[in-house]
Amino acid sequence: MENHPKIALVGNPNSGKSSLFNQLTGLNQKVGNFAGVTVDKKTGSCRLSDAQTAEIIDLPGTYSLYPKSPDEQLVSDILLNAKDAWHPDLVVVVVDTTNLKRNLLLFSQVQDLHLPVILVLNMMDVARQSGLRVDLAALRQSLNATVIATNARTGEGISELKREIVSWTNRKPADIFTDNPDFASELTRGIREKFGLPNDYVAAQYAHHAKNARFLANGDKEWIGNLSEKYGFQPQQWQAKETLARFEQIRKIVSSAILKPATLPENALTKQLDKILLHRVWGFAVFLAILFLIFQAIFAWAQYPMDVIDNGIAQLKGWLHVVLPPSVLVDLLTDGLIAGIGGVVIFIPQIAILFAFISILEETGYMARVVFIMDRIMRVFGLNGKSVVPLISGVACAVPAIMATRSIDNRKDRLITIFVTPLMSCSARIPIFTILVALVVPDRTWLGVFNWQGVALMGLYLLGFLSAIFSAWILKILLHRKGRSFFVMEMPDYKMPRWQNVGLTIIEKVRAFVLEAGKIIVAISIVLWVLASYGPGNAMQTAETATRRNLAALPAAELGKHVAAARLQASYAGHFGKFIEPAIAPLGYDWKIGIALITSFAAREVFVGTISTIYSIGTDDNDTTTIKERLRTETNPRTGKAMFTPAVSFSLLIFYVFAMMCMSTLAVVHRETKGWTWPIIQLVYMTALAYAAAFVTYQVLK
Amino acid sequence: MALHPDKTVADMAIGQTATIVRLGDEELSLKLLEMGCLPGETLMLQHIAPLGDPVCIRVSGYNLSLRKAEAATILVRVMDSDTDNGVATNSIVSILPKPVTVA
Repeated sequence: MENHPKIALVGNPNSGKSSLFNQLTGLNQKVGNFAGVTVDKKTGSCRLSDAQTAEIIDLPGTYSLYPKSPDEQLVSDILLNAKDAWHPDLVVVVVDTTNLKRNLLLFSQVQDLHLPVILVLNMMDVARQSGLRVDLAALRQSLNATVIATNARTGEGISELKREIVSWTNRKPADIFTDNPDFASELTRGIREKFGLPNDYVAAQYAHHAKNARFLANGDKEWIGNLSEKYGFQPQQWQAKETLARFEQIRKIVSSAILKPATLPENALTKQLDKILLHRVWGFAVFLAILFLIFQAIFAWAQYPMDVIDNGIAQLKGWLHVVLPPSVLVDLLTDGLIAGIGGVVIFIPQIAILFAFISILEETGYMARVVFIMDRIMRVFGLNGKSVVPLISGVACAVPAIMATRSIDNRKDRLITIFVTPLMSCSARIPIFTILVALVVPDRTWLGVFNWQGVALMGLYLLGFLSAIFSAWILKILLHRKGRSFFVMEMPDYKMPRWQNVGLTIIEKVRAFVLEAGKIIVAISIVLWVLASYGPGNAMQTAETATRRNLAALPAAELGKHVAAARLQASYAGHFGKFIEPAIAPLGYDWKIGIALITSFAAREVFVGTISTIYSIGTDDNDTTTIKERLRTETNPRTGKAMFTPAVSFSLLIFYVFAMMCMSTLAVVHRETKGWTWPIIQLVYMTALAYAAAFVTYQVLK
Repeated sequence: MALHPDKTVADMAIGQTATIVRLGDEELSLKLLEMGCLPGETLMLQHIAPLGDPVCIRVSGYNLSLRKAEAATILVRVMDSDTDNGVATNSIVSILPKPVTVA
């Protein structure tokens, strides 16, 4: 403990707190979850000196100790609860120097919590450029605190900060910032005594947070509630009074410590850029262009690394089959485990590219502008300007997209966004779409420019997007709004992105995807392998013998494929397919497609693998032309004609536009909504939608 | 000196400057206060989103966006270019915001 202090980073959003965290910890950081809450816990270790390391926690950005979201609640919970595992030994409050007045509110509150505090004046470079000069000595004296100037972008001041942290053991909690007589009362004295708190302000915070604080036992909450009632405690009025009193004091401090100018001139670059980016025509045009660029990157550029991964996995499988003796375990390893891992790894390029874009847009400050120009439109559908990012992310993968809804503080808006995000066609649907589209849509151009297949693909994405918007609108009508939502949001000045932050975000998101979605995809792949490899009794063996006897005349390779198909039909998976056939027959599907429907629930990309196994084209999942040719020649045993008619193919395409994407999505919805109600409603709704739409498609086109 | 005591931020035009008189919504006022929208503070309307809502104001040295309905809770005195701003500001500081009256 002595040589391993816990340090909390606290600050306003956009204060450069995360940059400072990255400077202090580099790659030694972990992202986890706090027990019981879905708030990212970013922690890391920092080497202070040869002898000392510190544990650093990057707490969510907040403007005050009065939380409006679960993220902000966490800050109060950790700072107020001395027994919390992350209760810090020292708090580093990071402030944006160019906006000292507003930022000092939080600092003054933290200082009054009786914790050792260091104030970090960040973004000194921007402040200096705009002609702002801060008298550090005067500020130190009037705040009675350690003040360090840094520039987290360049690393300036970081070693000084580390030196100050090293001497943390000598540090006493600073004197109280606002010695407001209102802080002390019969009420706070009572609470202080009962919980052994260091001062009246902390006690007042207990009274204020009694309802929502996670660390108070129900009995204690009730006790505080009763006492508050007895003394007529009015939390809102109290908070307003406190805020005004603090700003009154801050105003005096700032005016004496900031030499010139009194108010900062507007950032000229920001003003010019906003004229274009918030313009009623150019604003939307630029946003659409950026969207187009993101799509282009996800679908076209990501293809190269994805092909490399794909080939690598196929070669690894082939190599293992060669070097290892044939056995059930080797099959499990190659066709179950490695195939499953391959299905996860293949999406890393798309996720990395998507989050590179999102992180750059956030770092530069442009994301706040997207929220600003889109809010009015999104509100019509019960969404919110902040729903735009999750919806865009949903095009790559719904799992990180649903995690990105955490930035929406209103519960209803957030639920609606979570609910409709899986309707955005994710990248895992691309293999299905491309094969089926290639099968039924001619590869010709329209008007000389548009490729028909491309148009069809875009139509499918549009259909997904429109269904998301429409579903949101229905939910808006059905759901009751609980609690008020505020849109009040800071519009930060434009900045160059810090590439270290972008890089770390990409690593963090890819890691989250591989761990969250990956676990489930790999597990399901293994289960599927078992279901497809074993059957009741010796049914599979019987089927194999029968096939070998009947088709003995065929060449060995051809025979092998027929045997594989016969075995699959006799397996548990085959029985499943047969079992659901009556239910999917109205959509035009047979039991073979039935198997693929079931297996693809694990993850959409499994569809292609399953189809290739069922239609017995060996294990080469990646050769889409082969699969396409094979599907084209597949005949319907009842009609004797081609199985994959346009009606069946379109019905399948439509089904996959609407159907619930995968188990990992359900798992993440369960985690984010803290219950099974929403994932189940979502599954039922999307399945019903998919079934109805596919039914109509098939019956109309038949 | 022209005063428009019934105006709110939602009524302002781009480029207009005003002084905050009072915050009309108790719950929202707590959020606005900590964002630096204090009675007596000067603000300027910076941008209006393409569809007329939300709006963006410059206050306390930074840009803040809020929905029109939220902007309508901030009562202001719009400063005409020919008025003496100093006088207007001083007289308003003494007018305490009603919902957040200091007892």
